[in-house]
Amino acid sequence: MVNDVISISTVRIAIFVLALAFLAFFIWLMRRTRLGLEVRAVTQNPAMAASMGINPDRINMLTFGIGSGIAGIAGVAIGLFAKVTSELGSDYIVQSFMTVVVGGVGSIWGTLAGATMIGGLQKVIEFLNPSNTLAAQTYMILFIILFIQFRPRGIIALRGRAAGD
Amino acid sequence: MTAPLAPRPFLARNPSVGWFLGILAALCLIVVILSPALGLDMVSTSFIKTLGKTLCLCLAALAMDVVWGYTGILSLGHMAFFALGGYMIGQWLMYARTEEIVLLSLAGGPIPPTATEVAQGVATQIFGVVGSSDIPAIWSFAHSLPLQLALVVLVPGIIALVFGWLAFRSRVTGVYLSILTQAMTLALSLYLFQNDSGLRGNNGLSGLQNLPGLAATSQDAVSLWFFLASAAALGLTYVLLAWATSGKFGSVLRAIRDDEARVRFLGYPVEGFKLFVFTATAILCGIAGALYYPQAGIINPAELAPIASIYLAVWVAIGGRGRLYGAVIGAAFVSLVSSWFTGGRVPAINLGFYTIDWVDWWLVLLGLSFVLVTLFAPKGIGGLFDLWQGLRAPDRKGAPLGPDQGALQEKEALE
Repeated sequence: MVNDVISISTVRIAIFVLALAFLAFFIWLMRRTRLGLEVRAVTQNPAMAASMGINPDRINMLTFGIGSGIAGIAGVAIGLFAKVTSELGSDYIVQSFMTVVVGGVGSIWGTLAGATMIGGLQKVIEFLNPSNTLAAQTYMILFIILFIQFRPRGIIALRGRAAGD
Repeated sequence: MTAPLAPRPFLARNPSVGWFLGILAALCLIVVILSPALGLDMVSTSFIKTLGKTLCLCLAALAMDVVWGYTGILSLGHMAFFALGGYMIGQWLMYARTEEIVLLSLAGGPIPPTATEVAQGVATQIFGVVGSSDIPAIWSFAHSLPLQLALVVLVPGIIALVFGWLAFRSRVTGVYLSILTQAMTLALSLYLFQNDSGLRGNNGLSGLQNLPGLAATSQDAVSLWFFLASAAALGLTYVLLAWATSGKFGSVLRAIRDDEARVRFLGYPVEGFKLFVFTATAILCGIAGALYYPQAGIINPAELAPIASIYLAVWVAIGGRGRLYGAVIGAAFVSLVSSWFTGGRVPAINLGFYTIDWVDWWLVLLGLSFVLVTLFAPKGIGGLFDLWQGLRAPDRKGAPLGPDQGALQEKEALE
């Protein structure tokens, strides 16, 4: 509760703080730890990383585990304000893919930018056409398809060898 | 000096075509003999409809196999084209049928109904359910069968052309392209879910199994016609695709799948090839959908949900991608087994502490088998045919050294 006009529920603030905390944690993990270094090395060139004594299979397993774990945390956050069913994930699967693609694969800041853009855009379109949330999603997806035309690798694109290609 | 090898006939180069057409013809013959309409009345009409629908799904799987298994474009949008084809034919079926009903109900009046009255009656009948009584612009052609049939080809074709042009031109490949096609499917589905999309929102189009002008013909006969039409379409498409993928065109497609950049450097217009394959297979899916939905009887936007396109990919993967018969086997096997499991006729397994009800557990089984096939048998069911051929052809050990069939292989080179 802020004033008579605007009200923000405490839960949503808590989710916001939670998201920020995990964003900071992941940036620290990827930039400042041995694990982050190895993950980035395996992403860029698994064969070269392996010859430097990193076990790519182990890193892949750890990354997959960490990724699944963070998705679980997001599920907790969503569960605080949305309905929880066994099909909860399917509502968000396309949006979460879109976020990464728009933001740029392999960049945490890019993902943040993508999420901000997609979330903001959806609310703006809903604001312009409040009666129809389905249409808002349709227009947003169309916009993203067009956006990919101009920045096929996302807002923050990896360059050089890291881009893989 | 040996004489240059004469090109072998088409059937000798593609033995699967002969086998496939033979099996399909045998299936048609058996079904006709056992059908209620023409034969011994030993299989039910609903089973013939299931078989006909399965053949349409096989047709869609063939298209998916060419676009994914041969060209390496994992499109998660082909079921959307399938459903669009169904919507296009459904518009005519529903319009013409409703017009008949309206004419019948107005026939009792003292003076013949005017065209406006008929149009209004049709509009209220069709769109009353979404709270509207005007015919939307996208129904402008619904009165004419030839125009709607043209739309079955044109609508999926043009959407695929525009989308593919945008996507391939900016070199969106791999998982990005899959996500983009999935987003397109989701956008289409969300759009059609709206009531003001003009296609009756989430009610969809229904009553498609009643063919206009054929009220006197029983469903027994209609279902048999559609079964045979589906079989003919599947057979023709199989021959066409086998021909297209076995020649030089097919070689270029496989080359694009294996190393796109190298094909580009060799001077082939990769984008053109990909766009052509994407669009052509989208049209095939549209045609398959136009045959499927009159047998299913109802179509709604849920049919466009991204999960349907994922199922299509699962069928092709389980059957074995990169071989046409693999796609057909996968689609037929999985969808028939699926309708068997979800039909509630499979005995539940009682474990004492828990009863496995297959209607609920079938999806788990399907997901598990997809994971197992991907992990342990990447060639899918079609790989069994390789095993069988391995019995007849000696195992030459090692990977081939050259790209062509029959190239010298590793171990032979050592000896």
